[in-house]
Amino acid sequence: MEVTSEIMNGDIVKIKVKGELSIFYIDPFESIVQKNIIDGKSRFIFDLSEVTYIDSMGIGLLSIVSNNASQKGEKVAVIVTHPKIKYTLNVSKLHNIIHIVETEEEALKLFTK
Amino acid sequence: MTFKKKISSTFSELRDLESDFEDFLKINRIPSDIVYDLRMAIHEYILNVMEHGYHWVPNNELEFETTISLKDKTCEVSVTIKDKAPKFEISKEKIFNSVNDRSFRGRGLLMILTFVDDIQYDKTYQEGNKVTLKKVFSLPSD
Repeated sequence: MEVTSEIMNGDIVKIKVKGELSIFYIDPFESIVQKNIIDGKSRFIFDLSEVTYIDSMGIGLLSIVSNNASQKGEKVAVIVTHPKIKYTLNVSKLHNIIHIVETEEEALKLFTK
Repeated sequence: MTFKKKISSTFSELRDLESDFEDFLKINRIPSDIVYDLRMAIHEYILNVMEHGYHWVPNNELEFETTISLKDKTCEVSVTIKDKAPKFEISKEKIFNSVNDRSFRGRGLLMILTFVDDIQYDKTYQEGNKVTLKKVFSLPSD
């Protein structure tokens, strides 16, 4: 699993994950997420377009970020293209609290008023 | 066709089991979307045993057996998992009612119920829990 992060448009944290987002490989992802939350960030884009598998641990972390954002009146966008990943997010009810989009452009639009 | 393996309750052994399980399904030409569903279900089920049954204590035993049966164009993959943890049962009603949109935990159980067609507990099994997860599907025509 590979995780990279960058700041976009001043205060949006984009975190890109490649490979499996599961309990086996969650540590680097969790560290980056925690660091950004501690730094006061609340606007997140998770690029999961190259994720091949996601389990309840990965989904749980996304829900924590979403709860944090929601408390600050912010949003979380998740870029997903793999149909099974999208289905997994839907059945785990995550689609009710995050914005699932297919491109970075769509994700950025969510943060422009 | 049958695949059997015994593992201890560690992440590394679970990861190896999932890899071997996927290989077994692929060698037997199970479609990739079904492989994904089955792996998801067994992953979440075993994590549930490791967390709630064994309280993350490693080196507790888990026995795993998969059978693929084929009748006409209908395929059934049956996975039986035995552990030695205190008895528990996944109740559909309880899970569907308890997982709300913002729950952190509980989603794994919801995922098990979604990704397989049937889940049965052997209540006569005395040594711990014995569960069978089943997935039935039509094979694509060649």
